[in-house]
Amino acid sequence: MSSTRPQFVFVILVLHLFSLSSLFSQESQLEKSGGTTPFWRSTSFGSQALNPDISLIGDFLIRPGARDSGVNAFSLREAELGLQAAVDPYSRADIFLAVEEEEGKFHVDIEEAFLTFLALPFKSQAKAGRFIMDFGRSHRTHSPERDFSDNPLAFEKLLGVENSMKSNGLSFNLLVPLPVSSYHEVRAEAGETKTSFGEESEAIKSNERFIYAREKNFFPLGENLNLELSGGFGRWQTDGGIEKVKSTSTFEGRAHDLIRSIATGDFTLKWKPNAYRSFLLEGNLLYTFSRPLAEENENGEKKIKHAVNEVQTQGGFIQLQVQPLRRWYLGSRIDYLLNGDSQKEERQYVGILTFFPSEFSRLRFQWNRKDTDGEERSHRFFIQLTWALGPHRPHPF
Amino acid sequence: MISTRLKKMRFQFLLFLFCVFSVSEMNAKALRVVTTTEDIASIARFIGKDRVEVTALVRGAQDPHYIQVRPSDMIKVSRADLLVIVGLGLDGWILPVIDGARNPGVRIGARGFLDASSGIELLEVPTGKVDRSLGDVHPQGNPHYWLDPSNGKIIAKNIMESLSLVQPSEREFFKENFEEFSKKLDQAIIHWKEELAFFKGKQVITYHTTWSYFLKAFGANARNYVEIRAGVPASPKHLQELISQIKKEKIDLIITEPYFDIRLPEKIAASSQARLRVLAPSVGAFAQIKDYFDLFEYNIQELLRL
Repeated sequence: MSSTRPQFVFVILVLHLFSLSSLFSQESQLEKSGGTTPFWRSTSFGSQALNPDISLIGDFLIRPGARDSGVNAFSLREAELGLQAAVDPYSRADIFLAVEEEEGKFHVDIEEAFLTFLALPFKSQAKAGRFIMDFGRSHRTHSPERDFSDNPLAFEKLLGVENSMKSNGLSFNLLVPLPVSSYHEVRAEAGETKTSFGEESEAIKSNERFIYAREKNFFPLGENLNLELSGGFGRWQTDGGIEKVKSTSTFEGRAHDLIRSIATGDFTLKWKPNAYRSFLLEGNLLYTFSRPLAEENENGEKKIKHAVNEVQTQGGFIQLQVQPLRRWYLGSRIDYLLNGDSQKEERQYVGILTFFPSEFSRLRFQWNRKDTDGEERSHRFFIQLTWALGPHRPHPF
Repeated sequence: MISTRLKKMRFQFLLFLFCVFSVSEMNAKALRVVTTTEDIASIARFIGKDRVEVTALVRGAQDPHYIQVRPSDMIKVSRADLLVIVGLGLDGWILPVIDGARNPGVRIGARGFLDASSGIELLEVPTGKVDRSLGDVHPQGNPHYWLDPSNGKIIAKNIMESLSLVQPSEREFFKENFEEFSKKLDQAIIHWKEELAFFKGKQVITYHTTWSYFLKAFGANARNYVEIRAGVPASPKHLQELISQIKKEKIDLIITEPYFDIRLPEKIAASSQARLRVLAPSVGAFAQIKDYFDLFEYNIQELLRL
């Protein structure tokens, strides 16, 4: 752990140097244009105009029949408060606080809170703080704003108890300077996270360090048709914290100090010619690999492990959403998950009907059917009501 | 021998690089102007002529309220010398585009950023408490100001000043073009007002508040709207009330935009005997509307068919 700190300090120092150089070039531009009044000479104090944009999203869920399985049928799943503003001409801050209901009690969670350096040299940007990691379009969207009332199995089982992987760290991205109209971005992220890899997170005693790289590509295929083709790879390592009960054909016991990797690939095809019609097709694949550094068998004997990576779990989904009328959407999603430990295969089929009374409220009906190993079959039904107050900044794309 | 060949290859490579940079330098002489709408792009072309290369992010046939932000828009803004927006919340979707473009020269407050609404006398500025019960209201006022042709001169002046800030050496050139544009627009406005003399005092129904500036410029007035509130589709009750109002007040014209569902205004027109006209809210809304002058020519010819 101690070896990472000097690296972090170095990265933060570099970011500050970059933003200072950016600051000087922009200041000279402001001066040439007649300049703006520096804040220390401003005579306007306490102006409402200087407050950040404040928004609130409420997410209410009704699950008919849920009481039979010990879950509340009515729940205010989340109330998300967003505070967003420019910090200065060179950076902006975005903070999202989520009040969530869990087992009848409410708790406040910092969904995201990060500072973005917007215009660093070489068309680059950097982000520091707590943020949702970018594993694809659906994953980087906040839960209440996602296209379906629940989350794909791959997110639930692979990406943490909150169905999205959040990290405390640094993110650096660079616009690849190509002489074409398509968009290409490379991104590198490093930091610590505690909510990785779903159920295993409960055994984690300390944060895991991670590094993650992603390439994002957007291709305009027409005036209203866009394709995103992106992928990423990351590596997580615990520091003596995790231990996991492991049972395979060759080993029975506990695995210590995992090095785990995740590979992702995703695509989104989006067509939206006007406010009345749209079409969206999205697919996402996630693979996780796990390699214990040490294993302990039932007799308490430990051994250093140098085995090759083994596939733990793989999952993904494909979803389709069609807007036949201005305020109505129809959608379908197919989830797939293969658990590497249990070798259990799960599939889920989801259908939705969404109605927007206005741009700022949404009513959704969702039905799920889940098959485990082609035998166990369960059905779930959701009614979701979501509403938004204030100027919630749109997601970039 | 090998050394000579290497030297020759190096020379050829340097020559190639020189050619590439020369071509890019030639292209770089034209200022790259990105606008959110085609109307502002058209005016920018009149002011900048061959010294600017203008790109609009939204096509004239699209509803500028509902634009899906595209990463390729960020690429265009990242290469821009000047970004011009309509402002007043109409093109609020530009904010994530500016952030994603990583171009400090066109960020809000920089000399390469222009909100073209500066200096416009705004209509329908809400007073009192403003919230979403009023629909998708614009708290700063109605943003469709380019549809009053006299506002075209204010937009042109704003663009002329911004272009001069970005390229001070061309200040006189831009100023001459602005004066030429203003003169041509003044003459056109006199002609258009003569043509639409019959329109003065006319009461009309419009789909959205798009036409407030246009109607005011030519002395007409919107009595009601097809939408129940801005951005909120009409209810059956509202439609019935609208049909009754049209019959009672003998209103004979309904105006709509090409990007709204035509079936509703058609139904109202059929039930009330009022005439329906689909006017162009922007340059490029129909193929024959190539510039800002064509926009008014087209709409006036449509109204003359009454």
